[in-house]
Amino acid sequence: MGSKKHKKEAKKKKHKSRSRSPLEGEERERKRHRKHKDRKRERSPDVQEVPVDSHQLKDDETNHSRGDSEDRDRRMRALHRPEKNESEGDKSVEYEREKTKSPVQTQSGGAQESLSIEETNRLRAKLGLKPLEVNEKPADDGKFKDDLGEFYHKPATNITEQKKTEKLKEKIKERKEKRNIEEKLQTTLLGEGSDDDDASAWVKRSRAIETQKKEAAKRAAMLDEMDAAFGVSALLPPRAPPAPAPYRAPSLRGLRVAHQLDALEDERETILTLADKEILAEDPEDVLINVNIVDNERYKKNVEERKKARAGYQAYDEEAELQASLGFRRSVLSKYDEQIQPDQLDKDKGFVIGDEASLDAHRRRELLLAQGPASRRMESLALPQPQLAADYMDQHEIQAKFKKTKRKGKMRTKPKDEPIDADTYDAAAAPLDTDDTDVRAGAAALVVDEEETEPDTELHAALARARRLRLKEVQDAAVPKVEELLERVKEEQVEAGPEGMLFDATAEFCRTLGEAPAYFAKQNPHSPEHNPDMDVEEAASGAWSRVDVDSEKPADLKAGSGAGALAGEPALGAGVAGALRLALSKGYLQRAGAAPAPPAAHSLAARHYSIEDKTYTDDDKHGRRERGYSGPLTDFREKSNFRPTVKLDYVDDDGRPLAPKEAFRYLSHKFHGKGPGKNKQEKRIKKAVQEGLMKKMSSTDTPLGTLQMLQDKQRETRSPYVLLSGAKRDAPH
Amino acid sequence: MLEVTCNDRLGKKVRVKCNPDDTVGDLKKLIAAQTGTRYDKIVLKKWYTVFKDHIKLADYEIHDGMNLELYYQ
Repeated sequence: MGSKKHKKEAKKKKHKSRSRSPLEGEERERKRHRKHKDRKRERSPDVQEVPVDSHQLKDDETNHSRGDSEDRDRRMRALHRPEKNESEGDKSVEYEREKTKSPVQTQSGGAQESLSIEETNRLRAKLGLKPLEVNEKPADDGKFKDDLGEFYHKPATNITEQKKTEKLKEKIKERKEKRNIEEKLQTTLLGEGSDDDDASAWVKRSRAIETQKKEAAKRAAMLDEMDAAFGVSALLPPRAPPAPAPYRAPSLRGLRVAHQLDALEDERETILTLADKEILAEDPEDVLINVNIVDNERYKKNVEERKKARAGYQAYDEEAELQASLGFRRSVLSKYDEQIQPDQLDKDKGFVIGDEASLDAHRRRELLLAQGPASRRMESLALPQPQLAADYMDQHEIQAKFKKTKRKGKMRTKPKDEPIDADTYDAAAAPLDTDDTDVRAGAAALVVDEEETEPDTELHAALARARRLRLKEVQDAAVPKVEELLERVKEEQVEAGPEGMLFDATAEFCRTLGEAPAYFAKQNPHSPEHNPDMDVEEAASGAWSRVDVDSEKPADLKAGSGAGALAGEPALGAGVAGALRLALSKGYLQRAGAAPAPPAAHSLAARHYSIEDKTYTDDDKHGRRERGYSGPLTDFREKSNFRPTVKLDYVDDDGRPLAPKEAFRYLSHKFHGKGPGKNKQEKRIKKAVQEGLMKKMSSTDTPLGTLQMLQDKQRETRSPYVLLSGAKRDAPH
Repeated sequence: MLEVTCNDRLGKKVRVKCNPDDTVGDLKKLIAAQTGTRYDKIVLKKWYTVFKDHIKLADYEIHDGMNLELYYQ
């Protein structure tokens, strides 16, 4: 309420301030809000602050004591605050100075804070520096310099200003336009403007209008005349030509329509238009189409395609099969035909206007098609007549059944150039009638006998005859031959004795074996065969039979040497004699005289042997075994020098050589019938592949062929170094 | 002409008027005249940047109203 306020105000004024602080009101506030540093300075009483420009004041003032300073302060206070209450002048110096300090801080400031320009100049002069450059502040027109003070920057655009100006502009524009429009619309209203009351005025006006019109017409006419006079009318474009006369049927003859005749409806008008054609098309013919029909066809085609596409590929399309059987052949992958060759206006799918002949042909063709495809086969249901079966074979059947097949192959051929002469036929030289291939007569065997021969009966007969003859011949010569052989054998043994003594393991063994009967003979001195002389002799010389050099004539070397050991082996004849001869020559048997007497049977037999020991009661498999001839009982004498080198090589299925361990593994698999598992096999395969790679790897280079690349690069650049990618400047630093 | 404030955080705060093309050495002389120390004992720094005597204030980009730290050596 206003009255209350008033009261408060009045109350305030009445009271006298009872505060004892030296400051009052605002001063106290100022003091409260003073900065910390000022307060500090104020507290220390020993600091005497000398004002900076104390020298400007009178000299005696600076030396004043506190009291004088008080005066000064009073004076200063008087200057700055004349309305100040005099009663409170007696305050401490600092407070006053505080008051005075704040407004003049920038100018005179505190002690030692700043010198004025004059002071500074004086100081500088003393120091030897040039005076201060006091320059007026540069035009503060919103421009501010660059950091280096070189350029003036454009002040930043004030966006609010910009917006304001824009708005103003718009408004101005709008108003202007409005004005224009209004000016245009500034027409006289019907009801006003003219003085309608006066009829005569109206009449006058209307007459004036009429006359104006007339004059305008006259003028136009005059102008036209002038134009005509100058022939300008010819230059003017002619008037629009008259409407074209409608065309008739004859004028359409020869144009092609791209639809079937059936597509065009009867008893209705079908509007045909020219089909779009490329400008640069080679074909100059124009084609007429009806857009509706075209659209319909396209729609149908799309529907069909969509259906087909949905169906996808049908391996067992019954419809297609049916069509195929009827004769409609469908091409392979027919569903892509549209994509490969998009359907265009077919050349043959239309008709030409006015061409009656083709139309008729077309109609006829269609009829034929409707009847059915030409290749449809018609089958009659008549069956072939049943006939009596014939007893005899037909000519053809005979030929089919009894066809003589020529034997085309390598026959087992004998060289059959001429008929064999039994007398001169050398059975020895003839190839034996065995299955082995004949090496001697190999060349002759290559001649393939093309002729068909009966199974070699004649030849066999001839051969048998020859054999018989040969045998006879052999037998005749057998006896003397045997004597010859004996001689030969003896000579061999005699020869070997005095000349060179060849010690051989097998020979020694035989020799010692020969000695054995002598040994046994010793033990049984009462054997009838025992001959003391012979015994001594034998004991002395072992198997060597003594030959008296003087008594006996020297061995006939001529007869024996040639045919001794190098003669061909005596042929195995048909009889036992031949076999014996062969065995003798081979050394399976020995003549009674040549070899030492075998040990007496009783000497070798067991002492305490009785017949009862042999029991045949229980069948043991060892007893039942066939104790047939199992091979040579003695070593091959002629192969006594043979020392075989045994090398066991195991090979994998793939042909790879196997280590003994692997070989054993292979054997085990084969033995047990179980191979390694899937993983093992894969492992093996991988290992084999790795081995292959290892073998293929180059031994002189890294797997990536780095060395080769390096050398190639060096050769290319013809320099011994290679520059790695990246420049020095791109190196991190 | 610019005015630079030098404060040594121990009670001495001086405002010195100088030219931008004065060297730091000249500035130190001015400071010395005002503070009463010797100019070669003064080190002017700004954080760890020690202002060298032979370089101009403009080169150090010391503008009007900047505060420099006053140290002694």
